[in-house]
Amino acid sequence: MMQNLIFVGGGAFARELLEWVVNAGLPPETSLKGYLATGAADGPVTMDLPCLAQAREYLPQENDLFLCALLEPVDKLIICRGIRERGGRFRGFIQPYTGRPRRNIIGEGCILSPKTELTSDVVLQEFVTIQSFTGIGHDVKVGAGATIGTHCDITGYVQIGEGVFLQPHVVVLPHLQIGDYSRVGAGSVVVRNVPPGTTVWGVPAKKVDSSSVVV
Amino acid sequence: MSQKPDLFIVGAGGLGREVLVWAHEIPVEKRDWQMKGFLNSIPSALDGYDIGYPIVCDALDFRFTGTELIICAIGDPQGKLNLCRILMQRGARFTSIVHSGAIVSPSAIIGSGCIIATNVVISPGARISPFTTILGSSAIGADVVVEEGVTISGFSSVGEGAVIGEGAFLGSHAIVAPGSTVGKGSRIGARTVVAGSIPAGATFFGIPGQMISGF
Repeated sequence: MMQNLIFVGGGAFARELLEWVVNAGLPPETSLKGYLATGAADGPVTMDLPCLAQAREYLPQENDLFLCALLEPVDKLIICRGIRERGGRFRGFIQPYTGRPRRNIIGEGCILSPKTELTSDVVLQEFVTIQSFTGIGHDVKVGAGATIGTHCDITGYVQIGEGVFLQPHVVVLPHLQIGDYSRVGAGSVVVRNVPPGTTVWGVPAKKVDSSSVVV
Repeated sequence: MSQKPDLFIVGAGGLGREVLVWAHEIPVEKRDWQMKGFLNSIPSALDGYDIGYPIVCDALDFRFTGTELIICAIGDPQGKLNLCRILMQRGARFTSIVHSGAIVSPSAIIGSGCIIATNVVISPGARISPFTTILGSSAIGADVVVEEGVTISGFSSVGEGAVIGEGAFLGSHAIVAPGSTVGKGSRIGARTVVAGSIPAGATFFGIPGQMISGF
């Protein structure tokens, strides 16, 4: 059966994902159909694919297969879950450079960028995005929609909640928990649990006003 | 079959020796040069190292015929830029060394005389100007503009759309947030977060980064 690949989002990350997908070789009987826009945040440069519709309005067709190309966790959860509720199916993307799966559980629509590494016994829920050079330690659990930036080190047994955003170069020490919808600023070293809905930043990471951390 | 042009590495310090290693890790059939040796002002710079290539002479004493290629392996941006511009005026032709372990988007542009080390990821639309050095495991985001003569140390992240001004230096693990600007000749310390705009000639260090007078 022919499958039509659709990117959810048309920003810079979507263009990167498009190149990775094409370089890895499209599976047989798969074609690139287009992308779904998510509004002004996509910026002036658009994808080398047709824009099909606004992501929040698109009605999935029978042979559509979606790829989540968004980074902002709340957007991912609202938009991608909405598409799924309207009958859409998501596929994930795992770069061939990624370490071999070792009893890892990877949820629907997860994106693992080039040169990420999952060690063992990792659980990623749906729509998790992990960017280049990030290492995920053993027994780590990552909640739905979380985005983990480049060069992060998520050590053993860490639990990352739903909708969490970790900016680049964050180190999280073993066994810690990062609550749902929290954000951790770039370069932070997290040394104690982060409550839900909190923004922390620094070495060691401390609670800050969310506007002081620029993504 | 025509012979491949000779390649000389300008600078026989630590970076020069590293560049030799990276160049030799490029498969022979993909090389458009043959290694000849080093150009360095100190004839004894390679004493004690079993390199297998000589220091021919000082780069400023070399008579360029227009057939040979050179690559400048000097880390300090201003010294590199000054020397490269003098050698350009004397008819030197620069090549770039892109390690085969780097992932460079087909839509990224890399100027002449660039060194791209192992595991670097360069995203779509990025423009890397001549004489730029990007060291191992750094991630350069989509549409980033790196001006001439910049040195980016290892494990750095440059977020999408950021601009790194001419002759700037980024220490290792430096983080430049998306859309930020680093002014000409600025120096960004190791593991420093840049969010916003850094003026020309500044020295910036810490999380969050602060202006300091020197390292």
